[in-house]
Amino acid sequence: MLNAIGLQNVGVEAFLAEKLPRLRALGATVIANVWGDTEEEYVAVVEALQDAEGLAAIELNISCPNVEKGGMLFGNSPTATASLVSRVRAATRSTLIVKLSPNAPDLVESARAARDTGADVLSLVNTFVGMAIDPVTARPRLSFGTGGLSGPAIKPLAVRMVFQVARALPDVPLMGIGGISVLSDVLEFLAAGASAVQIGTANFRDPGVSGRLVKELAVYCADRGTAVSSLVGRAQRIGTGGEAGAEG
Amino acid sequence: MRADHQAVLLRRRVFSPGFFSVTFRAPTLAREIAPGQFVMLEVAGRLRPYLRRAYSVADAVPDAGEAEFLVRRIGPGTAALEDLAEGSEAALLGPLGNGFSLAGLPPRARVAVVAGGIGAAPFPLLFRALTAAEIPADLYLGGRNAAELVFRSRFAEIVPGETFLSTDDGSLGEKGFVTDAFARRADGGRGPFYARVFACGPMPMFAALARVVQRLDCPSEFSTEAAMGCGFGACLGCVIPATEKPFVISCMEGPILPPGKIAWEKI
Ligand SMILES: Cc1cc2nc3c(=O)[nH]c(=O)nc-3n(C[C@H](O)[C@H](O)[C@H](O)COP(=O)(O)OP(=O)(O)OC[C@H]3O[C@@H](n4cnc5c(N)ncnc54)[C@H](O)[C@@H]3O)c2cc1C
Ligand SMILES: Cc1cc2nc3c(=O)[nH]c(=O)nc-3n(C[C@H](O)[C@H](O)[C@H](O)COP(=O)(O)O)c2cc1C
Ligand code: FES
Repeated sequence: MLNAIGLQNVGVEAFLAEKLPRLRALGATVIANVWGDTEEEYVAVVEALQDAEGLAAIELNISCPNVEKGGMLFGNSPTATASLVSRVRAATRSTLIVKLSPNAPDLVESARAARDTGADVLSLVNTFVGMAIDPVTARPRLSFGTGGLSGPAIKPLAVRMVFQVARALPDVPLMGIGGISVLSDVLEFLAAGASAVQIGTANFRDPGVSGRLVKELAVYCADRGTAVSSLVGRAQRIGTGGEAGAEG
Repeated sequence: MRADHQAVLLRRRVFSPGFFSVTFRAPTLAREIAPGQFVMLEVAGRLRPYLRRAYSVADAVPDAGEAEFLVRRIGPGTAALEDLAEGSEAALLGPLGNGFSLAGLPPRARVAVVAGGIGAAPFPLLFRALTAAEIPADLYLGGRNAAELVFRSRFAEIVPGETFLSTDDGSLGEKGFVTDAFARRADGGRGPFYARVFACGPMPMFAALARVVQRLDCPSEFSTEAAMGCGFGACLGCVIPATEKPFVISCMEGPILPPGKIAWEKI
C-alpha cells in the first residue's frame, strides 16, 4: 500500500475523552502513538497523556518533519532524534517506545541515539518513501507525488532492519513492523530479534487479522511446547553465514 | 450486523466484455443489506490486489439468500472477480456505509435516480425498495457511449416509472450529459418535480448535478466513490473535503452524502 493519507488524528483531548475510554471498555492494551511539528508539541502531548489511566506506553512517531528545522524529519538525523527523545523522556514516566524511520540514513545510529537518550523500547519500521506513476499519463498516482509504502512489499527490508538493530543493540527490546499478514511473518520478525510485533496495513484488508495471529501463535507454541520468548532472536544465534548488509 | 461473509459465487452474467454481474450465495448479507450500502470484497486466496475493493450491493434476494453485484473491469480487483470460477469463494465484509434514505418522503412523491456508467450499480436494490413502498421513480441512465449503457437491460422491468437513456456521443438515447437530460424534466416550474434525487456516477457528473439540484432546491443523496483502503473507518484514505468540517469519512458517514455537505471546489 502506498499512501499519502497523512496524520489525521483526532487530537489528544478527543483521544482522552472519547477514544481511550472506548478502547479500555473493550479490554484492549492501549499504546498512544504521538507526533508533533515541533519538540514542544511532542512534549505537550506527552504531558497531556501523563496521567491518563490505562495507557500501557507512549510511542513516538519520529517520521515527521520538524518545522523549526526546515522540515527535516526528526527521525532522519541521530542528533535530531536524540534531542527530541531526551526532552520527551524528561516529560514522562511512562514506558517510552521510539518508532524508527527506515528512511534514516543510518538506522543503527538512530537506534543508538534513541536508546542513549531514554527510549525503553524501539519499534521499527515506519513506512518507506515510495512513488507510483501512471505509465500512460506519466502523472504521479498520489497527489503529493510521494507517499509511504507499507505492506508485504516492505517485509524483507523491515526484517533486515530488525535483524541489524537487534545485532547492534542486543539489550533493547524491539517491536517489529512491516508487512505482517500471516503467522510465518510474525515468526520471521521474532527470529530476527523482535520481542513483539505490530500489524498495520493487514488490518485494512482483514480487521480480524491481529486476533487470529495471536491465537495462531499460541497454538504454534503449544504444539512445540515452547514459549514466545524462546523464539526471539533465533536467527541471531544461527547467524547469517555472512554479514547483514551484504548485497547481491 | 457487520460480518465477514464467506460467499460462494453462484453465477456470472456478462453484459458485454468488461461489464458483468456476479451473484453470490450470502444469506445473512442478503437479509441485512439496505439499498446503497456496500461490501469490501476479497477474492479468496489472492494476494493481488492486497487491499479489498468496495462494491455496492446491486440487488439482494433474501428468500434465495443471494446478493448480486454489477461490475466494470478496470484493474486487478475487478479482473479477479471477472475470472472467479463459479463455485469459488469470496469474502464480503459488510454491510458497510449508511445507505439511501426513503424516510420522510411526502405522500405521492415522485423521485429520480440519476446514474452515470457503472454508477448504475447500487440501483436495482433501491428500485426494489421504492416499488415495495409504492414510490414512483424515474431512471436517468447516462454514459459516454452505448457500450457504457449495457446494464440498461438489468433495469428493464424494475423501474417503477420512466427510463431516460442518454449518451455523450448520441450513440444511444438522447445526445448529451445525463445531468442535462435530468435538468430538462426536473424543473417543475413551481418547485422541483422530484421530491428526492438519488445519484451515483463519476465526479464530473456529481459536480454538474450538484449545481442543478441546488438551483432546483431538490433534496438529493449522492452515492460517492472515494478510494477506500478498508471500508470501516480505520485508514482514513476515503476522506472527502466537506463544508461543515474539513473532511467527511466517506465509508462511515457515507458513501451516501447530500451534495451540500461536499466542498466541491476542493475536490
Ligand atoms: C462505496 C463504493 C462502491 C462501489 N461499488 C462498485 C460497484 O458496485 N461496481 C464496480 O464495478 N465498482 C464499484 N466501486 C469502485 C471500485 O471499488 C473501484 O473502482 C476499485 O478500485 C476497483 O478495483 P480494481 O483493482 O479493479 O482497480 P484499481 O487497480 O483500483 O484501479 C485500476 C485503475 O483504474 C483507475 N480507476 C479507478 N477508478 C476508475 C474509474 N472509475 N474509471 C476509470 N479508471 C478508474 C485507477 O486510478 C487505476 O489506475 C465502488 C467504490 C466505492 C467506494
Ligand atoms: C494508512 C496508514 C496510516 C499510518 N499512520 C501512522 C501513524 O499515525 N503513526 C505511525 O507511527 N505510523 C503510522 N503508519 C505506519 C504503520 O504503523 C507501520 O509502521 C507501517 O505501515 C509498516 O507496517 P505494515 O506493513 O504492517 O503496515 C501508518 C501506515 C498506514 C498505511
Ligand atoms: S476506507 Fe478506510 S477509513 Fe474509509
